[in-house]
Amino acid sequence: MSYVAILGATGDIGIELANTYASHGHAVMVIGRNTAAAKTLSKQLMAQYPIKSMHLTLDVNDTGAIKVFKRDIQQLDIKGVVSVVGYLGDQQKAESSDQETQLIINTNFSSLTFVIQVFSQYFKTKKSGFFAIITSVAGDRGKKSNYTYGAAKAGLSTYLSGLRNQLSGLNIPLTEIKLGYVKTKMSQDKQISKYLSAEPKEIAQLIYKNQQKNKNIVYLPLKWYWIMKVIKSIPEFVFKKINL
Amino acid sequence: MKISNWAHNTSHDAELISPTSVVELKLLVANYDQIITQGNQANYNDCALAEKIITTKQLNKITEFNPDTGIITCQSGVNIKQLLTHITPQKWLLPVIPGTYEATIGGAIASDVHGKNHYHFGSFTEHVLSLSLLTAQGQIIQCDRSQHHDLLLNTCGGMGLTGIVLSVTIQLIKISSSQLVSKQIKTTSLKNTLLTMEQHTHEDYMVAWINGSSSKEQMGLGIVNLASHSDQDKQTAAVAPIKKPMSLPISWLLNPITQRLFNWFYPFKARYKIKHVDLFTFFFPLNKIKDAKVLYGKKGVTQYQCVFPQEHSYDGILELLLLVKKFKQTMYLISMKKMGPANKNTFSFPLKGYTLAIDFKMDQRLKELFTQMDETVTKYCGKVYLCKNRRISKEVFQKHYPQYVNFKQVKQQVDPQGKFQSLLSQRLGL
Repeated sequence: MSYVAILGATGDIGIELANTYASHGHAVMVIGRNTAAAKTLSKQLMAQYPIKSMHLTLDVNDTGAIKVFKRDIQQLDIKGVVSVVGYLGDQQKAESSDQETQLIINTNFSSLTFVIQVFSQYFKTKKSGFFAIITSVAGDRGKKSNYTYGAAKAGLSTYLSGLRNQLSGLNIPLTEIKLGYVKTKMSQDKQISKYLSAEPKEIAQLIYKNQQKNKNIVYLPLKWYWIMKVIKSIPEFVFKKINL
Repeated sequence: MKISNWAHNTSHDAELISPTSVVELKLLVANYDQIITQGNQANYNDCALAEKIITTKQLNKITEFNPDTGIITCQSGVNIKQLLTHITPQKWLLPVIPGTYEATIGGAIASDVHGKNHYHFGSFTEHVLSLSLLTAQGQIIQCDRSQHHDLLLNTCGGMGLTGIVLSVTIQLIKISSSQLVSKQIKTTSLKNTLLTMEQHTHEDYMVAWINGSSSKEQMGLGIVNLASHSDQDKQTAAVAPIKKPMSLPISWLLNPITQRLFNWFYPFKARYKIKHVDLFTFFFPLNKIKDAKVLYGKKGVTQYQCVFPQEHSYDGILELLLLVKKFKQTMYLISMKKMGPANKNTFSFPLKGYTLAIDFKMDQRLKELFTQMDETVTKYCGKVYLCKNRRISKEVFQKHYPQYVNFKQVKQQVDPQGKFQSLLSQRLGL
């Protein structure tokens, strides 16, 4: 039985993703920071769908845990990884707290790359696998409300682009999903227009569809492709004065 | 999916989970509230049946073997056949070999199996140096004679209720040859059979076949099969080739008439005095026929196995045989083995004395017979074997195994939520 590993599965999008994969008959490996939540989700999946599921506790910022994780997955049969790991954090707090800045950068970029590395090594030896990793439209252009987060996501995007380049010869597809606003706990404090935000369930299904098609980079929902095209085209001397 | 045991006498709607690695097993088990482990499902009862069953079949690696010391470490899903083919060419042997090579090492531990040499080597788990056990809380505990000894004693023969045995280290015995010199002695009565067995305790292996169709007066006569390891080894025959099992998928082939014919014919074989046989032929006569259970028809086969202490062996065995005769049930296969003293396991089956095993075609009318047989066994201070028994009542069980209280205490400690449960444990209130 080979599993689809879902990193950060206990978040809102993660739960929907796990359910989507399970409903399409994939065995799901729930990987999350919170053991109890991971176990609950894993048991729910098994109860609801005729699939196998297991849960693993992993905090991407815990290097010791990643080592153990690396050893453990050698004994497991994983066919692909979907990562929904992300931490928006608080930009204002980050400006005065090194810790917050570090947490934002580590969770969204540096620590996450370690985990991705573990999987890419694993897939390379296995000579098969797939990646679907979530980044953010915030990585396309920095804005004052969340540029630390945006920068970390931009770093991840560049990392993924390089990794895709490397893996393409080995037939291991890597799909990057640039998400716009999604109604989740992470964004619940933000005042977001109804028109711009999407439901986690809808997003999860779109992620699944695009991953199955082995797309390279997708904006979800699609309208964000055009929105970001416009935003990216604004000259810097204008952009710096805009309140976004 | 309907899952049944080897004997096909019971089945249960169950989900079978088959992990390919210890890590996967550990992670999967964490998701279940109630589960039971199954090896190769080579048993006669419901000890490995539940709604969720985890099978260790794919955990079948021999991890370490030292041909100098004869200490072997393997995963619990390794079966007897696999182990024997690995070790016999190097002149090592399992000290205790059960009657089927399909059984896994994990299953042999859970049932604390015995062989045809119990009076020499005791039962299987007495040769286990250490084992690692995955408990309900997800811990892996290393048990041996000095650490977690109590848990070891309850896991050995514990019907898989304390956790999942992951790997086992066993001390093997050195043999002069994998060839056996076997002898058969015809006996004339039960007394004679028992006496013959008493006189031949110097032989390495001993098992008696009892003729179930003999008259009341002669009941208990049969053939005593004896075997010892040969002194000279013929190099060419060192590795006994395993013959492909014969396929006989005809259920009507076995009936009271053919049984009588067989019983009449079989003793003629005993005329051949001494012969050389290979290990597999001697130990696994049942495995010669593929799916031997099919012979017993759709309802399957059931076995009644019990043990009597030395002083009551004659009376107990005779009374049992006559009881079956009275009920006009056909005894398809009766075997008798000499047993050594009990071991320290909580559910230790052996007693210094004799064990009797009778095969029946599964039939509803057996219920009443078995109840009366239980009474006889209790009367003569005997015990029924848990691993073969599908129907023993809680009361009889508690009488035969008064140590169950200890077991419950240990179970409470390692598995307070009752994660490891089988139909057997629910039936017996364990």
